[in-house]
Amino acid sequence: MQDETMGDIQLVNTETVPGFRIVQVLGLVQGNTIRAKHIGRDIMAGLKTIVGGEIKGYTELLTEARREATQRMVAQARERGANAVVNVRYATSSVMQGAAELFAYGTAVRIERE
Amino acid sequence: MDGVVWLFVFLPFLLITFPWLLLWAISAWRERAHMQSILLREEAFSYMHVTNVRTPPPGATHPVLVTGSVVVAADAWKTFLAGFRKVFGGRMHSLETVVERARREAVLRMLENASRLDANGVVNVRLDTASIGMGQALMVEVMASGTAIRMNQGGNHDTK
Repeated sequence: MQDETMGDIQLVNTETVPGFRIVQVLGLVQGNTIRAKHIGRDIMAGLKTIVGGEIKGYTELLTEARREATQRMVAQARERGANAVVNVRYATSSVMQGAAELFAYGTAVRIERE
Repeated sequence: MDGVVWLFVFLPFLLITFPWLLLWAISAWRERAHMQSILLREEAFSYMHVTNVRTPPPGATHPVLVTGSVVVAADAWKTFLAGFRKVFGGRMHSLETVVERARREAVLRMLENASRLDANGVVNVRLDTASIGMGQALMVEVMASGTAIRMNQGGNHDTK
């Protein structure tokens, strides 16, 4: 998810940013989105359970949703004046039949080149 | 008499078994094709330094978060086998392979994204599996995430 670097905000899922030093911790930031698949896709996916294999419609849908959750997280980090988010984690939970919540969270920090 | 046997014994038998045979054939063929594609691409990415060690090796630069995800469903044949297996319990081998392929595919997509950034390593790889229930059939989303880095090849990866 390269475009998730979102210009000025550096994203990593490690605890440190290689080549950089963390100078200030600005706390937990998060972003979420709840998405429902639309009925046409559901029918196609239902058919796909006969022959099996990848369901591209859902893959795209979830990737897109995850990008949005990440964007929200990044917006929160930017508001706090961070220039990086470390230890980014993703979670998915199905909140009701046919809908899923995509959730991204991490620690907003300020980093400086070493 | 022969006509009667044909009509009431063989024809129904064929009608019942043929779709299952067809499903089995499709299932086996698709699985083999996917597995071959996975093996080929894994070979192509063998230069990548992929670990789930949490800290990047010293000297690593250009860290970027990369992800790869895939949604897969088991086919009707595998679902049928699994339903059979539920009665007796034990290993559901037919479904194990589906999830395994999904996981390897997700990792490969993550590596593809990393290679687009000219990275030669991905550290702190995490794998998440979410079940997207669709009635009886198995449908899962597997997502791999990690931090793509550029590092000196051949360097020792200290975990300190």
